[in-house]
Amino acid sequence: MSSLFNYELDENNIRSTLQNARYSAFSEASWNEFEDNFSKKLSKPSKATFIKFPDIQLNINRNVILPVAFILALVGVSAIMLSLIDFKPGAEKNVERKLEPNADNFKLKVSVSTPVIEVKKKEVQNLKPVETSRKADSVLVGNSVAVIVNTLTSNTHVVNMSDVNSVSQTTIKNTESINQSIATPTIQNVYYRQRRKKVEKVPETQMETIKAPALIKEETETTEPELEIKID
Amino acid sequence: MPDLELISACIKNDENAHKVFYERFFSLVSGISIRYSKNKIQAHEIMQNGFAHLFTEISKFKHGNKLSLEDWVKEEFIKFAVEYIRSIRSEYYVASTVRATDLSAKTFDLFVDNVLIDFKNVDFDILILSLQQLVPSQRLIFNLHVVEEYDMKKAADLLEASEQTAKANLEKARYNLQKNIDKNSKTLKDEQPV
Repeated sequence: MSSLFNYELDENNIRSTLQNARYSAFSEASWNEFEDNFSKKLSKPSKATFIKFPDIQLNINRNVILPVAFILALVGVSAIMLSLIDFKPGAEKNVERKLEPNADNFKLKVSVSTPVIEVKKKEVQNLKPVETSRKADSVLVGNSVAVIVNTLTSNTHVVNMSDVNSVSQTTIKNTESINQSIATPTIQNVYYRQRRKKVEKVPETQMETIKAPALIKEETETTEPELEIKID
Repeated sequence: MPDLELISACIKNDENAHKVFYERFFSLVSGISIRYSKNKIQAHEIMQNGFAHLFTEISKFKHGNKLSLEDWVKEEFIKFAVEYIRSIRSEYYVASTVRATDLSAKTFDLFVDNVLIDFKNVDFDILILSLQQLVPSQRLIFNLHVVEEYDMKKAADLLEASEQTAKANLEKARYNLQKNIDKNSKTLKDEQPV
C-alpha cells in the first residue's frame, strides 16, 4: 500500500461492535416465510435418504490435487497410446522351417530359346558392269543399306553381313528387269523376308519414288535414266 | 427448553422445536448475515438458507464438545455464509484495483468545512454500510480475521486461498474500509439537516 495511507481504525472497537450486534429481532413474518419455503422440505424425507453415502472429507490441498490429476491424465493417455503400438517384432519372420525334399515339387527346366531364323544363302552371280558414276552410288547405297540393316536387325535377329551383301547383290541383279527403276535392294528384301505373310505387296505403280539429290545434277550432264529409290 | 431436548426434537423434524430454535438464534444469525452480505436482501436470503442448513446439520452436534450450542450454531453459520458468498461467482471473482492516490482528507482551507472523522468510534450503521461496500473477497477475510479472530491459515483454508492472497486481500480491505467510512461519514453529515 501507499505510504500516504494511515490506518486509523480501531479494530478492537470494530470487533466488539460487530460481535455483539443483533441486527433485528424475531418476527413471525420471517418464520412464516421460512415455514412455507423450507420447513415442508425438511419434514418430507427424500427418497434417497435410505441410501446414505458416508461424508468423506479429505483435507488435501488443491495445489497437490491438480498436479496429481494432471500426472494421472498424462500417464493414462500415454498408456492408451502405447497399447495401440505393437513393439514386438514379427514372429513369422524369424520362424525356422525345415526344408523337406519333395520329389513332386521338382520342375523341369524348360529352356526358352529364341527362334532361329535361317538365312538362306543365295548364289552370288556375276553382275553387269555398272558405269562409274552409277557404281559409286550403288556402292554407297549398298554400304548405307548394310548399316541400316544392322541397326534394324539388332533387336530382332542376327543376320550375317555376308548374307546381307549377297542379298544386296541379288537385289541389284533383280532390279535390272525393272524398267527405269532401281529399288534399294537390302532394305526392301530384308523387310519382305521378315514380313512375308503379313505385309501385302504394294503394286509398283503405287510406290513412291524419291529422287536422290545427288543424281539431280547428273540429269543435266547425262542422258541416262535416273536412279529411283523406293521406300515403302 | 434444554439444549438436549431441543436438539433431539429438531432431529425428529418437530415443527415446534424448529420454531423454538429459529426464535432463539434469530438475532445472532441476523447479525452475522448482515455483515457478510452486500445488502439487506442478501442478508435475509443467507439467514433463511442458513437455518435450513442448520436443521439438516444439527445431528452432527456433539454435546460433549467444548463448544456450546450457541458457539456451534455461530461457527456452522459462518461456514455456510462463506460458502454461500463464494458460490455467487459473478460477484466473488471480481478483481478490485486499489490505488492509494487519495491524499488525506484534511485540508487547511479556511473556507472549506474540515470534517474530522473519529475512526475510533464509528457509527454501527456507517460501519455496516462501509463493510457491505467492500468486494466480497475483502469483506470475507476482514470478517474472518478481524471480527471472528480466526488466524490467517484457518481463514485462508475456509476461503480456499493461499495465505499470501488472504493477507493481500486483508490489506486492501483495511484501506478500502477506512476510505468507505470516511466517504459515508461525510455523506451522512451532508444529508443531516442543519
